[in-house]
Order: sequence, then C-alpha cells, then structure tokens
Amino acid sequence: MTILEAAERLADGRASSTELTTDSLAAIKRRSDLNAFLLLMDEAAEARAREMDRERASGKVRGPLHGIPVAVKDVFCTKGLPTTCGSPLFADNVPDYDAAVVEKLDAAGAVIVGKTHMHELAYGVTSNNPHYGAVHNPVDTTRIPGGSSGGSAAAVAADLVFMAMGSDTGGSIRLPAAYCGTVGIKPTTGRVSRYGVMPLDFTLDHMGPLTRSVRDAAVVLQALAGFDPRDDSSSRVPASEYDPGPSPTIGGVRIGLPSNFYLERIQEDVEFAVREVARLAEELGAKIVPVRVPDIAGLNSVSRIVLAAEASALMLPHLHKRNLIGRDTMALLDQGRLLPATDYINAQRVRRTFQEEFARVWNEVDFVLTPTAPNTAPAIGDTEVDIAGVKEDVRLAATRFVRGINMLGWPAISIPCGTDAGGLPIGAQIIGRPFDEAGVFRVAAALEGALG
Amino acid sequence: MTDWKAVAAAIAPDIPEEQIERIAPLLDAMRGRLFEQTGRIGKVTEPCYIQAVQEMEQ
Repeated sequence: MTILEAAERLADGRASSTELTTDSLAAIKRRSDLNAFLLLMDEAAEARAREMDRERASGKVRGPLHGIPVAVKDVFCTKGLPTTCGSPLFADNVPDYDAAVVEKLDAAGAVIVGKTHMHELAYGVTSNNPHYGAVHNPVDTTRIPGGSSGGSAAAVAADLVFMAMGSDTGGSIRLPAAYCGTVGIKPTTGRVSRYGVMPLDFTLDHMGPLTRSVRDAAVVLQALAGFDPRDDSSSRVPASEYDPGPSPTIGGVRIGLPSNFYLERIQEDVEFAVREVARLAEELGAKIVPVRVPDIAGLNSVSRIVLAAEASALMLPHLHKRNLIGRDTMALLDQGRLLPATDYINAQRVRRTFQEEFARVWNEVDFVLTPTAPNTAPAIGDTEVDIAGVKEDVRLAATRFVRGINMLGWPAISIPCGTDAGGLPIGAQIIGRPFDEAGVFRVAAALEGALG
Repeated sequence: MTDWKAVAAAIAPDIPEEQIERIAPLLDAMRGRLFEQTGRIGKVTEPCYIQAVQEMEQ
C-alpha cells in the first residue's frame, strides 16, 4: 500500500492511524532479521497515532501524511532520543532539538515509528555496519540493501513503513532505492533543510525520502521543501507543486540517453531494463535523444577528494577514538586527513568547471535517463564485484552513476524498472535541471505507470 | 610519489604505520586522478569568493 492509498483509507474510515501504526510496529518486529532499525519508538508512536486519529475525528486533516507511519534515518536529530549516525562515537548523543525534517514531518501529521539503521557514519554503501550488524536486503537477505540509507530502503521495501527518510552524499538514497526496489529522490542542493542532520560532508549532503511510489515521494517532498533560515545552505527558490497526479503525460519531453559512460561496463540485464524504460518513454510520446555527457569518471574522482577532505574535517574531534571506528571507515577518514589543502581547493575549482560543462546538456534535453547502478545488489561481505568481466571495488562500482550528481547539485530520482535473472531489483535514474523536481516526478511517475 | 609516512608524522592524532601503508596507494591514485582534471580549471569564480559575497549579503 502507498501513502496515497493509505490516506484514502484513513479519509473514508476504512483504517485508522492507530491501526496502521500498530501494524507497522508489529511488522518491524516480525522482520527483525532485516536489522533495518536502530531505534523503535513504540509508545511515542502509538500515542502520536491516537492523537492524529483524534484530530481527524475533530475535522482537522493536515494533508496526505496525516497519521501515516514513517521512519527517519539515524542521522536526523530527534529531541530526547538517541541519534547515533550508526556509530558508537555517538551512542550517548541525545539532541535537545528536532531536525528541520523531523519538525516538518511532525507538522504534516506523520507518525515517526523509529530510526533506521545505516552504514557507519553514512560513509559507505553496504550498510554492513561493524558495530550494529549488517542491514539485509528484503528481496534476498543474503544481499546488501545498498547504503548508506540501507535501513530506510529495507524498511520501505519490506512494507514496514510507508516512507523512510534518507541522506545522500554520493548516492546514499538512490543506490539503496535501486538495490531494494523502491523509489528514492535526491533533491536539488538547498531544497531540503539540513538543519539538525548529523553531517558527513558540507558540499555533497542532501536529504530526501524513500517510498513505494513516485507520487508518495512527491507528497513527502512537498511537506519538506522550503527555505530554512537556520540552514545557510537552504535555498530561497520557492517550492513548486510536486505531485504529478494520477495520469501525468510526457509528450514532447526530451529525455537524454547517454551514449557514453552510463551504458558501459554494466550488467546485461541492467542495460536491457534501462533501454526498455527508454522505449516506454518513446511510446508515451517523449523524444529519446542520444547525448554525450562530459567526463563523469573525472567528476567522480574529484567528488571523492571533496568528500574525503570534508568528512575528515568534520570528524576530526573524534579521530583519536580509533577503537570506536570501523576499519574501512577509519581508512577513509585517514585518507582525508592526509590530503593536502591544495588538493581540496583545486577539487572545488574543478567542480565549478564541471558544473558549467555539464549544464550544457540542458541545451539539448530536459532530463537524462541512466541506470542508477551498473549492477544489482551484491552479497553481504563482498568487497569486489565482477561486472561484464571486470573486477571492481564494490563501493566504486555501486556509486559510479550516482556520485557525480551530488557534485552538480541536480535533482535525481531512482525508480524500480525490473529485475535481473535472479529477481534482484534494477533501478533507473532520472536527472533533471536544478529545482525541477516537479519535472523529475512527472517523468518518473509516467514511466512508473508504464512499467506497471 | 608522496612520502605519506612523513606527512602523517606531522599531524595528530597519530595514524598507525600499517594504516599508512594500506592507504598510500589509494591516496596516490586519488591525487593522480585529480591532477588529470586540474587542467580543466579555467576562468571560474572561486568558491571562496562566492561564499564571501553571500556572507556580505546576509
């Protein structure tokens, strides 16, 4: 069931928030094998659900999220509740305020049932956390869910909650969405407030929802988008109307299908699935335009320098506690400390150049369609994957098509577009112009409808 | 190649030697890829200038 379907049931009395919340909490406990949650808020959630039911009975309905059980990744500060970022470094961190995202979900009437598990410090893609165990992919529990928002994707894919918030620094919303078969959007830089989010990075962090449908993602973003004076990186560009409605059309829309990089060195069934999405888009009246994209591999490399330097700067006060940081994460944090400042500054300068080069793509097309990842979910514990006969580090492979988009700041969504021969989900990524989330949702919803 | 052990010796908290040996090739590769890109830097307004103006505007 989607948020909008649940909202209808709540509206016509076929369900109550109390029932939905009880069901959600029971499902989370039943699927404890997924290890998708770090914290359950049973009593608070049940009380909140009763409050939302009372409000509804009195005639006050806040919107489509009113009374809907949701979850937030454990990077979002929650007043009076632990916010650990998946790390024992922050095991005792109990903020005295809520993140802006939590405030907005609260104002929209959502019922937060818990905080989802994640890759340690959000610094990785496997969600195989050395301290709190691996998150398991609900489609095949021997597989990773992707990360870093792995718990959020697993929770949504397994129908434990209707929506879970994630954060995305180099693909951490879109990648788990693709690996678990959910929708996940990374909005434009500045679109969603970062106030009260434990940061991994200054330049690249973005917040967004993972959901079971594109329209659900749109209604959640509607509740979250907007200027926040407490976040210096928050944008004053007004939010538009995001919900594409039940029957969006994309006639005449120009969708770029990259002729380089994105369809190279990928699983055969991933290529087939994405080409099928392009074919369906044409059937819907869109024009598929072959485009050559600038050097994404170069953009990815520069992105890794920015991330390494910024993450290490942020974590510096904690880096003497090496015994509380996992081996792989520590290696990344040590790399960031050793990089010269000149490299970081030059990486930021190259980023500006890349932004100008990539922006020329928008002269040719309105959106770009790519695979979200070159592969489907690897097995838990794998450090290398073999894609089209080439062995590659799991982390580099998984982020190949998503990482660079954070450097550009553009909105990008991942939608499910089929499965591989083993039944593992495949994701398609739709990238749009800055602040054109409405357009991204429209194209994604139309394709979602055509994919069935 | 950079002598990463010498660089690490100058910063605190310490990074164990075996860690430096593990990450040195990664750092060299990362920097090598960056250097391939720095030739792209053209007449761009530098990020710190943009930030300085934004701070004045606030």
